[in-house]
Formats: sequence, C-alpha cells, structure tokens
Amino acid sequence: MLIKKISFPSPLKYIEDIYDDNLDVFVELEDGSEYTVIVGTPKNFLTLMNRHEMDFLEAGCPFIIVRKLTVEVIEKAIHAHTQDDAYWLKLHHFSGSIKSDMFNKLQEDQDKAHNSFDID
Amino acid sequence: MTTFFKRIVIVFLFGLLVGLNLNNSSNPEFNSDESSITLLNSLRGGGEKSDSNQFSNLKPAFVQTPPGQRSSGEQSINSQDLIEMSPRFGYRTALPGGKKLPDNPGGGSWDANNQDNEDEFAWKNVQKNPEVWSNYQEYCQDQSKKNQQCDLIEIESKIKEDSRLVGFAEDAGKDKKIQRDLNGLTEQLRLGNESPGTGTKTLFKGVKEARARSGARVYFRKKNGKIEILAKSNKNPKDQKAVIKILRKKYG
Repeated sequence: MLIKKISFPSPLKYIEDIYDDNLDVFVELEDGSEYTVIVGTPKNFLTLMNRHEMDFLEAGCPFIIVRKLTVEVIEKAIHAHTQDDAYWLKLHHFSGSIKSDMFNKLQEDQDKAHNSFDID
Repeated sequence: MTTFFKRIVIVFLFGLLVGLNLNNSSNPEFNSDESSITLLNSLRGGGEKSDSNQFSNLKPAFVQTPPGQRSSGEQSINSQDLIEMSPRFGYRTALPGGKKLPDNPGGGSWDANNQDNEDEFAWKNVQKNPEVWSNYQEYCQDQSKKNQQCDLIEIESKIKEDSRLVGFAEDAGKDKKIQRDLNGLTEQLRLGNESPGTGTKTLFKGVKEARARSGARVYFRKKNGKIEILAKSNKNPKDQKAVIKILRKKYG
C-alpha cells in the first residue's frame, strides 16, 4: 500500500544520537488510515536495558528496527512494512490492542489444523 | 586558708568542666554518632572519612537540627553551596503538600517517623550530595514498589483545565495496560526519572512526552520546580496529534 505521509510528533532535530534512540512515527496511507509505530536502533535496546537495569526489554509493542534514525532510512523501513496490504505495519500499530480472544481463536485454529493430520 | 584555696580550685575546675560540656553539647559533631559525623564531613566536601565505599554501605544519615538553629556543620557550607544543587534535581526545593523530608539522625532506616524538623536544610543537602541523593532515590524506588508514596519531585496535573484533554486521558485509561503504564510513567516522573519507559521526547518549547511501549503517553513540562502533567493519551495517531495540537496552542 502506498504511503501518503510520514511525520514525527517530536522533530528529528531533537535526536542527540541517531544510532541510539527510538521515536514515534506517524504513518498515513493512501486509503486515509493512520498508524503510529515506534522506530528504534539496536544500540538503543542496550541503552534501555542498561537504563532499566534489566537483561531484557520489557514486554510491549514491537519496534521497527533501523540502523540509524534518519528520514531516508525510516522511510525505507516504513515502506517495507507497508507491503502485503501493510500487514506488518498494522501489526506493529495494533499489537497492543489485540484482545486475548483473538489469540484463543488462533490457538483453536492451530490445534484443529494439527489434529486434522491425525498423525497417530 | 589552704582549705579555702582548695575550694576555689575545685569550684574553678568544676566550672571549667561544665563550660567544656556545654560547648560540646552545642556542637553536634561532638554529640552525634559516627554516621552523622561522616555525613557532615561528606557534606563539607572533605574530612577524613571520605571513603565512598564505606559511606555507600551505610544508610544516609541526617543531622537533626532544631527549627531555626544552625549547627556548626551547617556553618561550613556557604550560601553558594546551597544554591548549587544537583543540576538534574536542582529545581526541587521542598516536599509537596507541606510534607517534610524524613529525618534520619544517626543512620538507619529512612522511614519518616520523625517529621518534626521544620528545617529544610537537610533536604537541600540530600540533593546536593550525589551519594546521599542516590540512596534516597533507591529508598523511594523501594517505597514505590511497596505502593508507598515517596515524593522526590512535586507533580501537578493541569489536565483538568481543559475538558478535551480530560477526554483524551479518560479514553486512554480505558485500556488497562495503558492506564497501568500512564500511572507508571507519572510515578517515575515523581521519583525524578525524567526519561521513563522508552524515553522522553521533546515536542516543542519545554513540553515533553514520556512514552511506554504499551502506547501510554504522558505529556509534561518542568515549571517552578515542579513537573506539570499537561495531558495523557494513547499512541493512536489521531489522539496524539489532537493532544499535541491543543498543547501547542496552550503552551507553545
């Protein structure tokens, strides 16, 4: 799906280290739908773990991972996530809003598919 | 005659002892336990007991001073020292709601059992001394985990001043995960962590946004030594954009 507009709630000029940060990105697609995704760098993951004194990142909405936080790189990454009817972009955006029922349904479907093979 | 002179000498010696004792009593350095003296020395920026490892093993101690009275330890700190506080927390001058800093003479627990001391000198020195301040932050973090309030920074919510912002905050709070993280971000700001969650972003002219991975967003600014919570929202772009637009008009 085509991207209509990419914008940033916090201007990129405030980023101190483009290799070590994360930020929100607003994405508007040609059909008028809007999404917010979090784009971050690998180094920033270590920074966050160090800052929180943890050996892993806290659970939460996934990041789109980029080498550095420049408009060009972010646009390329967002473009990659808008393929296949923006499936992954939508997943990133809605990841925090998916109800547990949905997982139960997916689990049931998976179990049914598995049982249908009747291996035993 | 000899007896008379003996009595005079005894009276003189007694007077001398009494005088020395009074002098020592007025100086807390001679009337405090070792931890208090250590703290005094460290606050002075010197002293023989400046071993940070030794100090870090002790709970920070405060020297209890009667209201309006300065101890000799305090006199060694000039007014310039009082102004130059830690840059990160320097804007903090008093506990909110008229609460006092927990007194802790002689070390031990930070529990605020004794809050009779009106003097805020100790509070300023806690901020001024990185080690003591760090220990107090740790204490507050522990208290926070126990759901006990321990304020480091005064928080004031301005959300209620705008019904639209109230609506966005309420809407965000409908999601339990987001509500939990909105509370968590605010709590971290209260504890002096200005970059909680996935980090804080500057939106415009002093207005910042604290973010959590659940999608919780807390908009705030520092003003007059306090942190003002300006708005709360989720990460829905329409909500975020609308909130930022309102904030830009009000505070930009």
